[in-house]
Amino acid sequence: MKRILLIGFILSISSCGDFKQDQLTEGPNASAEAIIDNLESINSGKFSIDKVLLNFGLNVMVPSVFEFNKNIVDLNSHIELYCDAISNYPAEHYKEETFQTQKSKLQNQWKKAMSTYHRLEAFKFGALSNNAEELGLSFYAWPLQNSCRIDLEIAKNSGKNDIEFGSKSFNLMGLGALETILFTKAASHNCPSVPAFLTKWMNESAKTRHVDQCTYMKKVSTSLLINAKVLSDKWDPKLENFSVSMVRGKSRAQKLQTLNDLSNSLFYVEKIVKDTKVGTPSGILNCKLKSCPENSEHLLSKMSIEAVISNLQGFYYAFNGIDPDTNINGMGVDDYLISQNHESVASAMNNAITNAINRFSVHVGKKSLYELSLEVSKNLCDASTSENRTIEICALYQDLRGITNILKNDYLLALRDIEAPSQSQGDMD
Amino acid sequence: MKLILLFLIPISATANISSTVITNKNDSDTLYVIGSKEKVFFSPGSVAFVESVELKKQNNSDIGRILNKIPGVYIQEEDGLGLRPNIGLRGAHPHRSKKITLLEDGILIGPAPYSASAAYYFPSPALAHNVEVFKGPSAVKYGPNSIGGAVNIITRPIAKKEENEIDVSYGAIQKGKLTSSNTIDHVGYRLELHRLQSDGFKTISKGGETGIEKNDGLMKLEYDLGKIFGGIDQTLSLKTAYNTEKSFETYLGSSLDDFKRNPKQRYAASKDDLMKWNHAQFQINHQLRLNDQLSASTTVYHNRLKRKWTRFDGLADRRDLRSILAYNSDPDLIRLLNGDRDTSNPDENILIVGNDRQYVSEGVQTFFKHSSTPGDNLGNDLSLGLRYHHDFVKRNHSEIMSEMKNGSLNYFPESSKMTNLTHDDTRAITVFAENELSYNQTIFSIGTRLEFVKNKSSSLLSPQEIKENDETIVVPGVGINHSFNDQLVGLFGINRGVTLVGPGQSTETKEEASINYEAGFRYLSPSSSAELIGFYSDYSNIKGTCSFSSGCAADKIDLEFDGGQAEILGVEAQAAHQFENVFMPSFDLPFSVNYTRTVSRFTADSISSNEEWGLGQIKKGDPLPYIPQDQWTIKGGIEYKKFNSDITFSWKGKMADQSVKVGRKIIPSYGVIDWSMQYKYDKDGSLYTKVDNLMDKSYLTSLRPYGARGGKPRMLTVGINQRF
Repeated sequence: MKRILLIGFILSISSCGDFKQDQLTEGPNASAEAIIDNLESINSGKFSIDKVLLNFGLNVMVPSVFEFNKNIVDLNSHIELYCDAISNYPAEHYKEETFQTQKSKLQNQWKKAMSTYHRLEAFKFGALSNNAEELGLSFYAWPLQNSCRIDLEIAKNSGKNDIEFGSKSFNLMGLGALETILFTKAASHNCPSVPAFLTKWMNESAKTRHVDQCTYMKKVSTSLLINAKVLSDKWDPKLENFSVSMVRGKSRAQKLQTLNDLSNSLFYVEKIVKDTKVGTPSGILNCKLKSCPENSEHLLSKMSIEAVISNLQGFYYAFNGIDPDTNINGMGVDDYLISQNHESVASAMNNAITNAINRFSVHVGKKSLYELSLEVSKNLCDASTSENRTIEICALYQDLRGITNILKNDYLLALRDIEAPSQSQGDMD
Repeated sequence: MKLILLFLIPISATANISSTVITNKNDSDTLYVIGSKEKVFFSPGSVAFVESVELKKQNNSDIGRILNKIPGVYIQEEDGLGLRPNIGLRGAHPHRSKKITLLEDGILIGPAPYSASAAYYFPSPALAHNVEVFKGPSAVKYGPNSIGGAVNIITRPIAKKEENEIDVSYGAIQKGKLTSSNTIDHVGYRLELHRLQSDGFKTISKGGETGIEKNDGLMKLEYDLGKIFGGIDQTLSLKTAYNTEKSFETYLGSSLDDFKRNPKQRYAASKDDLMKWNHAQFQINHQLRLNDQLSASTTVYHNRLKRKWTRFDGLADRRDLRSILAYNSDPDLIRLLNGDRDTSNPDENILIVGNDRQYVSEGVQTFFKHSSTPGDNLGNDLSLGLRYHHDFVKRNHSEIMSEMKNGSLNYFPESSKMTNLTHDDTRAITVFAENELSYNQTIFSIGTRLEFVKNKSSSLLSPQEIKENDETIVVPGVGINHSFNDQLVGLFGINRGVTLVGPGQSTETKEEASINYEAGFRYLSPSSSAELIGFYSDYSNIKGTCSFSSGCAADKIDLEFDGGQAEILGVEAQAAHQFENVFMPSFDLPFSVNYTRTVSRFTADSISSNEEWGLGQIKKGDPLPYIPQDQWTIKGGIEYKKFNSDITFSWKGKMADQSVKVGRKIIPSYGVIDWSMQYKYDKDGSLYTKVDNLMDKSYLTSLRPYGARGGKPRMLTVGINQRF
């Protein structure tokens, strides 16, 4: 009888499917080198430099360059459609405004590609920054952009099927060149003085001028396509996979140097976004007048506010290691701070970024930085702060300063292994 | 499904025998948590009792080897010698025994059970006369942290007539014991001195000590006030003890590859590691028996522990050593740890911490018991208890950098700094009431414990911070024991399990809470016993606490983490039989077996920041760490006149090192054979020998906090015991 009961008991247990520990199995290695083979582990376990670099490469940079590449491909398609339509349209019926709808679509696609790049330029790192930022400048060369020269090149090459540029003609190429062509008002140009050949070209028919512009745009777009593919291939995990190159076989010192480079790339928010994009037009920096509106970014497309917001979003993604596609917050520089017991610095930085994005977002669709800089009064600008927003563009500058002050002080103090870029050391603001 | 299973278990259970052997009651009730040994069989809850005879035969200095013969008890070995046992009950995490209540003679014995539940001090098994273990509903009345259960070590009682004993053993572990006890007129006393020493079993490749020295002194005095003054039966007793330990112990294990090559190897980076502590205990107890129905016992207690552990705590850049050692991913670093190369850059400097702590646990507790028989076949026992408890821990942690140079550590005095200066203090009032009603063949027990806890955590380093918390908890439980006949009882119980929120935690931290169910059978005959109990614990919130031993960084020590929902279910079975007069008269073969299956897993997804569970995503179904699914012990013996011998095989199934899948390693299953033999050369003297880990099996016990550490290798001990 006892035996029967015992068997009954064992059967009752064994028939119960979940009366055993199913997950008593080993998981993938969370250690540094093995992360490469078990990418699932990038954002698990303790902080490590390998994880920050790999997560940044695979989850921040790769989606960003893929999206940029896609937008450049789409932009090229829009340009081809637009230009084919123009060249095939009968000259006798052609008017300045004939393809305005198609042009608007093309402008929107350009804005989309431009915004993607603005996110990307917030962390010019790896291929984008190599060789004195050669690849980065090929995409967008502001403030080196020369709109007048672009007009002159188009006029000079009128009627030709192809245009030759020098390999270093960054100020004639890239998304900035497309902005000049797409957003300059009809039948106008960007030159302060007008040479005869430009006057002659301005007197050509609308179709001739538009076909010439298309020839130029196609040339620029082809270059963008090639370079965007180069950038994408550098990071593509199936191709050159630069993410893994940052850690595989690298010594700790080498990886630390790479992290330093990544950290340095974040100082774009200070050097360009704060000082150049906002500081100069507002008259706070490098401007001898009360303000310098003409030094604003995107004077033609009027998307200067959106550009700064995209920059800040890119900074936020890179700092926190956030995948822009999924918004998953992985290992980032913030985790490095936290690992060094400086969680408060990471938290303060994120608060400052969020605050700045919110402040800039107020002006989307309303005013550009150019328009805001027209409102500057020198004394009132000096008195403007994030709280006292008498002159808005000066207050926006202070909002950005909230980020860069942390970046240059608490951030650098917290991370003893990360050296400040030379231009930031000694800066007392 | 689990509930159905729970009810199926008793229905289909076979009866064989109870593990808990009923013996004569000859000791004070107040020392025993279970109440009296007779109550084990009839207890509505799951309890176990280890006889003094059994303890003497085992002659173990490692409580783990005593408790692993009890189903539902998990021992995670740490140093191989049992210095700091990690005891878990019913799937509660074993690290530092922090989820169970530790008692000595019925009094809280953990260093600071409320303020710092991790038990860095554990009573020496050499002092133990009996050991009681109780789990689930039977643990309701003993807090603070009895979500898994409680362990009570009973020290030897005062002898009624003169009893002196000397015991000396030699081997890998050397022990000496000198005891004297007697009752003269109305005054009884007991004196005990114990010494344990060993050179350890590990070898530091560049030289260094790995041994231990432990000393225990105990004095008990008892005055029979009733006889001195006449009138009411009452006694007044004093118990005082002083214990010390000096052990060259470390948290640094080795890489898994090195462990496989040589499990006794210790890296040079740990050569300066040293734990020293001293523990003082003082108790006054008054027992009053007003009549056959009403008795009371009051104890004032004070325990003080001072410890300092100087030890390796990683590298300057805080790289993940657990992972590196578990995956052998950085051989060059391992060469550094082993002193085979020198430190080459500041990131590789070796961090040595000096974790100095002082604990005090004190209070007064009183128990009242009223027994009555209001009717035929009707009995009622009412127990009431009240305890005022105060404990604190003062942490004074420091660190200093050093570099490996020619296999030794060169220290940088200028790098020395204080890292933790905190004072956690708790005051608690505990009230419990339990009523046990017996009617015919059924005992129905209902009880509850109330805890009113006030704690304060002061961080004295900049930024200075004080956190205060108040907590009130109610822990109810019910149990039923029904006798089907004289040999077979069934039991069923439900209780709430709670682990308090410790001092200094965020106000958002929740207490650990579960509802625990158990049901089972016990069988007892003159030569056989059996027990089969199924249990299910439904955790609404399971808690993890950061400790150095689980790999946490200094800034997170004692930080508590809420892990969300989990469940722990299983079955505990044991059986014993004494085959008597097998080949000839007096030739007996005792045999026992026990088995535990535990399924412990999270039942909801969560993100873990707790090293103990691993860092990252916990998914539904992920296991709780360091809980084997299966473990069992078989013990067989021979008893013939003056000779007896036991052989025990203990097997423990594989365990997860952490819950989070990424980075999870598995501690493989292992089995260990222990053997002991005793020969009584006369009625008062015996020779004995024992061999732990007879087959010299190397086995991995832990990968935390830093690398692989193994269990005790083969250790032979030969000794003599003489009473006079």
